[in-house]
Amino acid sequence: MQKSAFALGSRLPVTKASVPVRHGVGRTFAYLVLILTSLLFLTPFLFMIGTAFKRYEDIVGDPLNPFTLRPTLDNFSHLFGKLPFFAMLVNSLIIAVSLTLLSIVFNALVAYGFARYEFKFKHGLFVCMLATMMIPGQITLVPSFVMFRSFGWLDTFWPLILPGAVGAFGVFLIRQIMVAIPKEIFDSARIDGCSELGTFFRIALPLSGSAVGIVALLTFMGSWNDYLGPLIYLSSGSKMPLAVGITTMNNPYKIDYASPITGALLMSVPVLILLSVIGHKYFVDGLTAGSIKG
Amino acid sequence: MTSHTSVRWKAAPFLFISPFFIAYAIFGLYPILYGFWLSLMKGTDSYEFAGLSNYLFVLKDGFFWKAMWNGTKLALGSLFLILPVALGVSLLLNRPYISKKKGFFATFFFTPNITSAVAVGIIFKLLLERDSGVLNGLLGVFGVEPIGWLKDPAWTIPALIILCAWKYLGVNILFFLAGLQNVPNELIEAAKIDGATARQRLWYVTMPLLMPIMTFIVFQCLLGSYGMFSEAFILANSGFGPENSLVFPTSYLYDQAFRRQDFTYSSALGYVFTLLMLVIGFIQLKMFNLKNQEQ
Repeated sequence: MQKSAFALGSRLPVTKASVPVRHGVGRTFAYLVLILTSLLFLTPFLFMIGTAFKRYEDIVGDPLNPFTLRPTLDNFSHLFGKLPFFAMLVNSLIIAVSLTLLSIVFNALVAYGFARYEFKFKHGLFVCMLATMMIPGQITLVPSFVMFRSFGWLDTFWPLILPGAVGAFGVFLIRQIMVAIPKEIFDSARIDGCSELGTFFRIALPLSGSAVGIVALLTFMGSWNDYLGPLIYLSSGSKMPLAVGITTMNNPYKIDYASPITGALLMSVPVLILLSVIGHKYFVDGLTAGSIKG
Repeated sequence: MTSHTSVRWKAAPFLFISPFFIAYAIFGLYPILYGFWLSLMKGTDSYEFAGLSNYLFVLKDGFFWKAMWNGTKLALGSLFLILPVALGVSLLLNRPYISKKKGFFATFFFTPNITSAVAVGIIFKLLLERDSGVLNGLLGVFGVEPIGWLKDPAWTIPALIILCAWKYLGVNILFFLAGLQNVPNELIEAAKIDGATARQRLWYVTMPLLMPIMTFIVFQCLLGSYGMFSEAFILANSGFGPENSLVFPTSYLYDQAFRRQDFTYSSALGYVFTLLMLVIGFIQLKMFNLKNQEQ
């Protein structure tokens, strides 16, 4: 609508005053659409937050109203009574943080190998690595389980941490940035007596901070939100992370709306706040910028 | 001294890249090969050779094909409902006067994507509840009879598509935005001067230039739809939903392996699924390459 106004404007003599008015209508329309869609996207979150403070009668009796006039903290005390919530939070944190730290180091090391050096079979090996992204995880679901069982790693965090520590996607993202670092910087570091590993830690890693940041965030989110992994590998309640833990409260005899939603709130809100503070720049700007080069 | 350094110099790149290949050998390649061996066996405690019988069974297993069909329905829903909307919103966001506030809006759209599938499943179970759910409540205002989104087998896949639209629209908008940065403004301006309408500009200028990212987006969309697990599993209360209308390949595989303890059959399922995905991916790449060559 607004674009056709442009097309006309470029060919026909239009008085100066009429153009801004047409712009105005188009712009208002675009903004209106975007704002309404944004609100639509916000709605499920509002209901999640509101429902956690609602009484059962209000959840069932007044579903269209996201926020209740008589909030209650019962759902929270109920949740903490039913679940070892803080133990589960700690489990989630242990798994996600250790996986993230490992993934930063290992993805960056491999990326540095591919970005900094010329060597035999480099292209072939790189393509091989990327090809592993094409293979769906379902194929290794059962055999990995049998393998970890033979290692004696069932009901430990290892199967949830080690396999994710390095992956083609993370390496690829970091390599894209590291390739752009001028070779002279590395060479001068070498001349100044820095070792290969030292060059990596002191120069390559800090200079590819934006890509490393994206990989760290994606890894953390992936681990924090992972559902199938803990469902398969963990069995004792005390080792469960939040993603599985909050689903274990479903009472088969009475529909309990409030406890799972309160769990979902407590599980997602801290991460969402964290990400909107530090992650926004990385995700929105970084992801778009990174994929252009790709 | 010099020979020593040069040896180190030659080994260094391989040392740096070795973590990936060692990890993939242990956590990827070995399970893949071992899974193939398992798929040729039968038995639960001790295995004996069974040839291709598991595979023959998969081919005749109506339940598996129902799961694939559900994946197909979700894929079609995503391709023809979610992606066009994502493209539309990204075209809006890409307008010059919005570009400064692009990040602000993108945050709104992207936030559901970083919310855990479990939490999303729980939220939508509440919103899609038949009698006290918000969606039915809203539809009721317009006089629509309550829909059993999660109880009526005809409505479970639409319900899942609604959930996926909310969760995955944002990330697709970001991908399209990335692709739109490859469309030079001069080209659009030139088309305008030549008198191309908005629709013509979109179809003949923007779309061809979006093809590379479109290939990637469609591939991701297919992989995600057929690989659906967590959201559907939560919506279906850790099961397959009414009349198995929410069974997906991964949930069937999970059920066979970890509830029925049939590792050998489950491995065969994993193999057939992977082969099908590679075939689908290959066909899709071919189709998009052909399109690219035409233009």
